Amino acid sequence: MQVMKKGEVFDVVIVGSGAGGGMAAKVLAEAGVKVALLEAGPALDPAQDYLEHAWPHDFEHRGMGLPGTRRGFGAPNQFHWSDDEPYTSAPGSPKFVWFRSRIVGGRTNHYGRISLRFSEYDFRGRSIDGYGDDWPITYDDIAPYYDRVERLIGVYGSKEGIPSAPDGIFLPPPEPRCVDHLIKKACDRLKIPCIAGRRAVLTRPLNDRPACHYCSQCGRGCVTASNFAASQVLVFPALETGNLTLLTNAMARELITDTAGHISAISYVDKATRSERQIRGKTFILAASACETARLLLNSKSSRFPNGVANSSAMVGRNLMDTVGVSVRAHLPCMEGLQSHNHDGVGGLHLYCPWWLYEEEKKPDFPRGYHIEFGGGPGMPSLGMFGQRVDQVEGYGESLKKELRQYYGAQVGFSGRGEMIPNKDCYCEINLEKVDRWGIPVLRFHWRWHEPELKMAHHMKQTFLELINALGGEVIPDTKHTLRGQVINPPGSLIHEVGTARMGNDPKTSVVNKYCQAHDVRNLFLADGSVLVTNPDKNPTLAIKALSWRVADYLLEEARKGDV
Amino acid sequence: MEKTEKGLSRRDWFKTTGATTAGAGFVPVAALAQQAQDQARHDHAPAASSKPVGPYERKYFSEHEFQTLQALSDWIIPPDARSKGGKAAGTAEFIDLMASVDKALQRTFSGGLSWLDSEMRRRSGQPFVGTPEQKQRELLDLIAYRKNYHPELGPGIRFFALVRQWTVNAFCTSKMGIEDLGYQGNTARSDYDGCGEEVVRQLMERSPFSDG
Repeated sequence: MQVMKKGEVFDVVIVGSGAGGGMAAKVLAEAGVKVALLEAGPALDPAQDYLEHAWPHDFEHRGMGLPGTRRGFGAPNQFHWSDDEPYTSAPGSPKFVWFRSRIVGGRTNHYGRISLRFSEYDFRGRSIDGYGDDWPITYDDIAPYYDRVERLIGVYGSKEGIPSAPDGIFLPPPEPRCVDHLIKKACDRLKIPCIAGRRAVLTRPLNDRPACHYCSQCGRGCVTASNFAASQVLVFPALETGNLTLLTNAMARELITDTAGHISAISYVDKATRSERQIRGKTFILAASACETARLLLNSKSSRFPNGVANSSAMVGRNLMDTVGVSVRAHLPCMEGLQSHNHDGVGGLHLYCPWWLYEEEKKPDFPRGYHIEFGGGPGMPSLGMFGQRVDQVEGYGESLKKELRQYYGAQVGFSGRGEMIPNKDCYCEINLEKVDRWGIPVLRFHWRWHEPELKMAHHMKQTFLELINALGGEVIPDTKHTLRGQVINPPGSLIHEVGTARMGNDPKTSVVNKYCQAHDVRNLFLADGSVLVTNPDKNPTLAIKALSWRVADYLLEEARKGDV
Repeated sequence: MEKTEKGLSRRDWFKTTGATTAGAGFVPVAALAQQAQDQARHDHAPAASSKPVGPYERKYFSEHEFQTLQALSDWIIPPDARSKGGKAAGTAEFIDLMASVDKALQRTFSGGLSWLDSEMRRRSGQPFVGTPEQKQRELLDLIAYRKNYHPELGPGIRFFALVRQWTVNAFCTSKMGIEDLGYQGNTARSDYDGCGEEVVRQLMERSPFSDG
């Protein structure tokens, strides 16, 4: 237990304990810096709260949430949704789906552990095709931090030398599952590259963490910490240094500025007592997630910062991007009644398809690209798994029971994950008319997909139909709506929202500089998805970790020079 | 500023993260997995289950409604050589539990069960449970298929589709159903060696890629 002394001023105060906040906390605490870390939710104890190895029938409701609740089968999953913390969507905008995870480790407790490096070309998109903006850094700036992150957290993969999928420091990849063998063949036929997946799951012991034990239930929390979660891999070890003070259930309200225009403290709500407190520091790192960080900046208004802290550019909340996602599932007759076997594996991609049409002469009619994730086969039976089939075959009795056995495990799903171009119609702002239960004004989201995303989504759909056709499969009816036109998944639902406080060299068009330091406020840094200039089809978490480590390194270097 | 009350013991956390102190790289993978498995078993057994122990206590349906639901569950998923049926798997219990907290489900299920009884009485003078099996089957053969749609059978067809969905869902997520389907995972193992040469060969032979 950490005891804060009255009037203590921390060297660094970090908001958010996920990928970005956890990484900065670990690097700084291990370097001897006195760090305070604010997390808006509780800490879970893996031994008590994780539900790895549980079964649907261990639960009265078999994993179905009771009406009016969001409790489901799986911790830490019941912390997905924060009903206490509303937000709004602008009239006429599709509803933005904002997934929050209020627990130590944040959304790294839930994510797919996919760990892809941005490509060299991803940092200079505007120079190549005119869309969006170039980054103020290059692949060479981030590469050493990718190396360090991968060595620390453990990422499996294979070295391929593909420009759209830069190689990293990899653990050996897991063997392909049945569906992977099959889909690889279909990809070969369509000349789509299909290589080992890249995920932060240990296939070998690493840094005192045992290797994966292949139960495939990563989403319920891994008791052995064999997959990456910021709580187990970053925050808990950082606590061991004695330099980190963790404040849980601490919901940040506002940044407090001093007369010189520096941040002097953060006011926050201690949820347990519903009391208002302040924590003081010399340097502040916001890593509350792209939209929560934007909300905190925008809600921190003063006569000096009438539009919110660090917002002289009026770019805070703007350039909001998610990933372009399309999913189609299919039934594969050739997998019906396959000999029973354990198909679980590492609980995520064993193989995947990196973007393959990146060469100038092959580029399709939309900018940038996407990768393909896939899976399927005999996974743990769950509620709803047979819904479509049962309505399709009807009947009852012996024939139905046989049908279930035949059908089970013979499905595959394809998901495209592609880059969205930032546009002026996608942003979040403060909705002053509505506050959450802590009295903090909430966000209002605006959204409109533009032509590049719609064209990309169409291309994904066509590709998946070709793959399913090559596999001799039948599209599953519940994904037919996808084929009728509602192709793209709802905005926000890919949980890759980024860009709300982007980095850049020009203080007029960006919020932070190339070290993620606010142009307007010298002692304020951002270390989450908010700083991303673009949202490549590589899933943002690995980049967030690498950039956060870079922020921490920069701070340590400046401290040595006596500048911060 | 006062003491922060967070109540977290770092040491306790570390005991649970599976951290081995020294030379982890030299411990055989199998031993680590075994350790993981033991740990998972020990740590999870008490935490995992939210289910009360002891026999199920009916919460919403009347005794007669519940018996009818049980009869339907065995019609939908009958016992056979591989597993017992829907009734033994507790599918009616699951539906009762979910209906007990959902007014809309209560209306739909009670309405449907009443329809079934009144239709059966009209046909044979008895409610569904209590009518000879052959008569039950004749009615089910009508309401189990959309092709038999007729305005007077509409409520029955819709109701049966719903009971079938719920029964299948409940069966397939029961211990019995999961075993029946042959799911073999959700267990700690020392290594993952793919799905085995034999299964891959079997799969490839049936696939569109059998010619390589």
